[in-house]
Amino acid sequence: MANERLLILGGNSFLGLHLTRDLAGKYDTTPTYLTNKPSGFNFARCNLLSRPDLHGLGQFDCVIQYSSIIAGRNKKQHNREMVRNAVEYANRTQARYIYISSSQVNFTIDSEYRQSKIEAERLIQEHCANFVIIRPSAPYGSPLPFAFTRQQPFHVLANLVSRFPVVPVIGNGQYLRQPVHVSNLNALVEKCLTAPVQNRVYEIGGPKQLTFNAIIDIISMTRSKHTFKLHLPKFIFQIASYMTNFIDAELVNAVSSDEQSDNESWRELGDLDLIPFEQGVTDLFG
Amino acid sequence: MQATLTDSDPHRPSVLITGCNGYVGRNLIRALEGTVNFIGVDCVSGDNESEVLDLRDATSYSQLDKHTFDYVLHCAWDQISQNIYENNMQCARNLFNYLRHKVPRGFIFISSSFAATTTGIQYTRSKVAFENMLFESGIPFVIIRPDMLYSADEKKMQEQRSYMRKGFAVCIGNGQSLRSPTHINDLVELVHRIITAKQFTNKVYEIGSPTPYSQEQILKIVATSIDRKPVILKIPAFVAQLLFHATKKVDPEQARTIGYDRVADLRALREDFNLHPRDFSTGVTQ
Repeated sequence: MANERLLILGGNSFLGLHLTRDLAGKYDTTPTYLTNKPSGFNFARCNLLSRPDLHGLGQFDCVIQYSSIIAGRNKKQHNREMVRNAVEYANRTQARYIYISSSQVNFTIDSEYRQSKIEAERLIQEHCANFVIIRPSAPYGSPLPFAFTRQQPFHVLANLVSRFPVVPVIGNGQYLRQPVHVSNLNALVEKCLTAPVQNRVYEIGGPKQLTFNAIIDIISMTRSKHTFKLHLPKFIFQIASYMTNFIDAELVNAVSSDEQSDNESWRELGDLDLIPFEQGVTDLFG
Repeated sequence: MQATLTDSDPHRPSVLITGCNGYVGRNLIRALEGTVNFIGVDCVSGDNESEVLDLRDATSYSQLDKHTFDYVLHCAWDQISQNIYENNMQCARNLFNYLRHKVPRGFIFISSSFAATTTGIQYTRSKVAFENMLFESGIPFVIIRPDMLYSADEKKMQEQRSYMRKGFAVCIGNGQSLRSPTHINDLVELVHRIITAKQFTNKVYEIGSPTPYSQEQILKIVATSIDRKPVILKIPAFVAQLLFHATKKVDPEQARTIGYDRVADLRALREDFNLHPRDFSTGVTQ
């Protein structure tokens, strides 16, 4: 296993860096970044829109892609190009390709981001020789000592709950989420690396669905406090989205879609001890 | 280590250089003309051209039929027009069409550090698109991404020094974004090593100062080099954009990218070419 070479595209993202750290001692990993380089771990620069950049990285046994544009303009076009280049690279180098998609492909409210993920998955299923697609639901985990380009939603929420008696909530907060701990997601990626499966789509979420309101209550309980939820209409957050790169106007609109993961989809790989949010929540505070 | 230019190869390679009268082209010719036979091409006449031709005009390429060349060094680039992307793509299509018949043994493309950022401006998109076209052409290549090329006789450097002698310096934005200025002689040295060693690795190389500096630090280093302490005037990016529109000296879109860091990753350059570019603090006086 230590000799197996893994390329982790977007290794400087929150999920990518967690995986990079978890696999560092077990595999020969090369994580990539574009503009924000973490220290250590042999990071290599790669602009996924540039095919020579990608192919210049060399040969790997497996390519794991986290890179994706979440906010801003041209998400669909850029995400499609990045996936197309990565698939072409994986095919040409005969590497296995693991794509970290999103549970948002199942959202009932559309967005350009959702469309970009759907199109990426279609492209992979039509053109990639050996792939696994993983759709995590609302992944969360411990903060890392690195200034990410974009703050993690759960860390922002935990911070708000810790610091203020009132937390703004988009809409009625009754929409469902199924938060999955990053260590569960990484365990699934590791199973995919070792199992002889190919051309699969797996969904992974926490052991149960929770309303957004319940998520706030659980975070509040760990801080031994009660948090007042200030329910505000979407348009206020959409206006705020123009002032920060943390939230995207489109994602605000899609937020009231419920999230439900099919945790049976990966059972063929064996068991995973899914961490309940009530237990994993303490990791949000480091 | 900054090696001097010496040629031990008695057979001088022949190189088609586009943009031969531009800053990069003329410096490369001046430094390498003792070791390389250049066929210079530019759309404006100057001191170095063998042929005056507009690379956007497919019919004009017949002027090159009488020349033979081993390598292509592509420096020509529209950086300031309204149609940067289309102009450069028109050149690219024509050039690669023409090279189907000439089949050079290697191609060096002077790209830009912008190609290693997420900026979606025409300039960046055209550089990345050209990189992809070169990759697809099947011609052995090296892509070089310098940042802020400079030397004592470089126009912007001279302009800043003239302002500094009047007691001020101009900085766009808050001056805190990082840059890796590239001394022109380091670029020349890299091109020399590629051509003399025939080392076309099909990879992308970033080149620049090993220590990145903020724009404000860069101005202070330049000022110190001429014993001045100017007042630094910080112009907001949107004002700069208006000024660029009015003066037409700089691509106005570039003002939007002022907040992006551009930090060169020199690992590949060191590993493959054993080249160690000079630090800006020493290069500024050279």
